Amino acid sequence: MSSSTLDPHTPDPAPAQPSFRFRAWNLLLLVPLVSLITPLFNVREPTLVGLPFFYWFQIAVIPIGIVCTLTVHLVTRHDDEEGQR
Amino acid sequence: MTGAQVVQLVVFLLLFLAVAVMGFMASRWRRADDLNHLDEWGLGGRRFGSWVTWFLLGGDLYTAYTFVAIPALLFSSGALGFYAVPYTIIAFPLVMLPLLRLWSVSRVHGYVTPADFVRGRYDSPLLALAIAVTGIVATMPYIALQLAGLEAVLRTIGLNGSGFWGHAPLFVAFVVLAAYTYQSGLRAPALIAVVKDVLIYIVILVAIIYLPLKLGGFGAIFDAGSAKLAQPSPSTGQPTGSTLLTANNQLQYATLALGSALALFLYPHSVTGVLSSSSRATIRRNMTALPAYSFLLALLALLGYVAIAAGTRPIVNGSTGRPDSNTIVPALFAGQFPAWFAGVAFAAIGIGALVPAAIMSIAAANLWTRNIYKEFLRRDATPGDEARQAKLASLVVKVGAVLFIVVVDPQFSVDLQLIGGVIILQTLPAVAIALYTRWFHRWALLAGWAVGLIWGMIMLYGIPNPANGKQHFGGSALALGGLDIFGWTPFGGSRVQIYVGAVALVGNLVVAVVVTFVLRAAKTREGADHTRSGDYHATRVPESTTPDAVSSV
Repeated sequence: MSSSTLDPHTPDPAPAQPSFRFRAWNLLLLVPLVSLITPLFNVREPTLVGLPFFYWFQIAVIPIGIVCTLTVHLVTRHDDEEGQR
Repeated sequence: MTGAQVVQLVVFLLLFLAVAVMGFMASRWRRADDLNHLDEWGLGGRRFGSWVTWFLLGGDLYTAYTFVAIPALLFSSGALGFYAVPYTIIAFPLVMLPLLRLWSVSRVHGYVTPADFVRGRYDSPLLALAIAVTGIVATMPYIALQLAGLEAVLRTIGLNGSGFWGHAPLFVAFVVLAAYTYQSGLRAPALIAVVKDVLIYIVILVAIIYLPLKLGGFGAIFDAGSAKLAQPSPSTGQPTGSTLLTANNQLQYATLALGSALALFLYPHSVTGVLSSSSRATIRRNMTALPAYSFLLALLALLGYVAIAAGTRPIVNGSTGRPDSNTIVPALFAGQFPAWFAGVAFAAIGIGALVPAAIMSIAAANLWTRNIYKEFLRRDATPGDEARQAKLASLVVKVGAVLFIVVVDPQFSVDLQLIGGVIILQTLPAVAIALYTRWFHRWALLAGWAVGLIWGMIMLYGIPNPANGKQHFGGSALALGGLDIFGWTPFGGSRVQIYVGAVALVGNLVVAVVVTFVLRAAKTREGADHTRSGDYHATRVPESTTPDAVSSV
């Protein structure tokens, strides 16, 4: 971090590891945000077992969110240096 | 008391007692050599695996208040109350990566609270104090709300006395809770959370299958809901709500869900749950599995409409003399279930209040001990002193929460919770963004925090609630037309609503950015960063590290 070098008392950060690791897979974590775009689903029809679309669409996003998070977890866990499990 | 209520009470008491015994026994569970250490009492020894963490976080985040208040919100205002579902859908994926960083850096440096991290990152006890006080203040009304949920159940059972002593059953429940939290620390709620979840799952599954069958299916239930919500309210002449969102509250829905999701893991009690887990893998698995509760929450929210279709009426609170909308779900259960099963359901909600109340009081106690007592009052406190201080503080916090319930109308305590959400969100730049970058100057963060808090309070103060005739603190939905920045109204006349917390957070960030540029230009001292970039990915404590926080504990 840039500012940490301003203070002479701070030891230098370990140079080997970058502080921020970007992985394209992590973008999957943004998919559930679709449940915030209300114009997409704020309608009554089609209904499912009596539930308006507004309600069952959001319930349907729950497993999608779980699958996305699970994918990220499975794909990235080896890089995450998890020793003890 | 009717015969049915006696049966409900007996079942409730049996389950409640069983749980209390578990709470006291918990201190022996995975026993440490010495419970007189804050890591042991306040974080359960940092050894909870995936399952325990799942139950602990579930007990922490899906509380009695959620189970009581979210259906009540759908009951009274319709689709807007369903915001809790997208909120819990987006929360876990969004916070997974930041939480992993927080866990690692806290493990390396021995941080117990979010404020500990801020102190290490920014070398500023003052900024840490601001974060700690914000956390304690935001947590108190949250604990009070758990009590409101518990009391809603007690009053439905018929323990609906008037005046001060009408709260007596609540006092008894709370003395029991306080005693076993004092004794066992975080181990008690972790163990009880398992029982709570099993009970809640049984109750909800039965309710969501049995009740719609009994009432003619969801089609009929939604028809009844739409019809009732479309009736004009006697106080405003407008419809009270709608089973779909309107043009004016869609933005409120999305910003409320997003703001709540971001606030969720800024609350000290959620951080306590995360830091008590044994590894990064535990957190990753939990962020994957926790949304399973969202199903439960969605089904539960729909009980608000079920209550409309069943013609349920809220019970009049004996202490305030006014109908208490929190009693909708308990009253629905009492009216539709056999007495013994209603008793089980009430026990589930009641125990669902005790688990988070215990964790929250422990988290608030940790904040007090680490960031106020040890920092400013007794710098040479030993680990034993810290644990003792935290145990006492947990008692004080609980007494404070009980006072909340006795002094203020439970209806008002819901508003306090809204305020709590707005203020805890203002710690986002100093806690969450700081996990990624130290670009912000520490005093700029403090300035942004202060502006966000004050502006948020001013906006909340200015929101009336025509439905119950209140002039101030009537909710968290700000009409954009009312947005006033020193006389400048960018959206004049607009009736589109937005969540106050989101607006205040934007103000907070803008101030933090501007002040950072100013301070950097003036070359103000930035303080030392005690964390290193490798710390944020650490999977275990490096043996070469002897960080200050660890050595001082």
